[in-house]
Amino acid sequence: MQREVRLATEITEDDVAGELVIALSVAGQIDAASWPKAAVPYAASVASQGTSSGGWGLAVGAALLLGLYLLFPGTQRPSAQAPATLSVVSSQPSTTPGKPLAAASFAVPAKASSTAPTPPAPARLATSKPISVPTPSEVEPKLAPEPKGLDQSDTAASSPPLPPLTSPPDLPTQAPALDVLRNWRDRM
Amino acid sequence: MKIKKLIAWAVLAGAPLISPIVQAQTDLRLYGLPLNTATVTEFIAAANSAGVEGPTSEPGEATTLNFDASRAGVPALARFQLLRQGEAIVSVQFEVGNAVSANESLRKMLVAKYGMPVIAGAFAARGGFDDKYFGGRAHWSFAGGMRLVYNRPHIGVTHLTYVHEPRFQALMDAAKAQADEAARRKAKSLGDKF
Repeated sequence: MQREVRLATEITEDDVAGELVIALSVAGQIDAASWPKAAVPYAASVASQGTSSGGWGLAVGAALLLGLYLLFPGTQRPSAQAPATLSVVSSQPSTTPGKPLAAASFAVPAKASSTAPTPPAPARLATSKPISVPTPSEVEPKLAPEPKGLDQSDTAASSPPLPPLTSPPDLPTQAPALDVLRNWRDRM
Repeated sequence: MKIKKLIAWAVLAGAPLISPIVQAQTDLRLYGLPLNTATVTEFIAAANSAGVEGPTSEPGEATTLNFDASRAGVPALARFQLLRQGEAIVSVQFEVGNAVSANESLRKMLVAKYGMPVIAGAFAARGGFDDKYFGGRAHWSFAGGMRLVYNRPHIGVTHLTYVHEPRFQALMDAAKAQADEAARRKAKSLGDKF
């Protein structure tokens, strides 16, 4: 049997119907002489089946995506950016009946700024007993008040002179910092 | 005849092993000075006479001094830092330019002067030390605990380091002990706050 070979882009509906007729006639279900009349209902039913299947697939896919979106909305921060929490829980059993164990959790900043000192994060307390938490003013060193005017003589007369800048007493004068040495070693 | 051949092969095979042993008995010198015995003052004078500019700041009590060796004429060597402990030289670290030709010619000069180095982590290294595109870490060992280290990382600046290993290790230990002590004092002063 001579068969014409065509590219997929060149196949027409008649070709598809022709193939159907050939297949059905070989199977003995229709008479090939009745082509194209007999092939049209078959081709139409195949096309309609394909369309309805595709539609159902799209609908199911969309429903799946919607379900995933509702389950994981994506509005929460990832855990890497969320502040770490330092929890302190008392190991002693509570003596008062019905009173929970003493516990406190502190929000720890995830990344400390290298340029400006950040005030300590506010503590989130989950205890029935109040716990004193140091305020930023208590933690940070007291700074001398800035002069209000431009005239330095007034401020010099009113406020005591600032102490000269010196290196911190705990730093040695003849030993480099540990970071300097570590960087040095990493480069070699 | 067979014995002579065997001896020749043994000498050829053993040459790379003997070379580091020979180096380990010689002084590592820079600007004509043996670095394990030279003082910082002597080093500055010798470096300046070799065409090096610096130090860029007053030596004073600083533990690191910066120099500029770009006019000394050695390919790929530009700036370097000197790490010291008092008057003793602990380490000298050069920044090596990453220009391929200059880098290669510096490596060839190092091989001509000191022989082939020991390549640390041979699997991580790219090619032989005198190859054009060598990458990795290589070193030579010298007398008095001195070591010359060439490090060309995959990413970042290449460095050539002259280091007195025992002094450097002692400095590291002292710095670690001081850091631990500082942390202990800080923890004591803020003991009730965390």
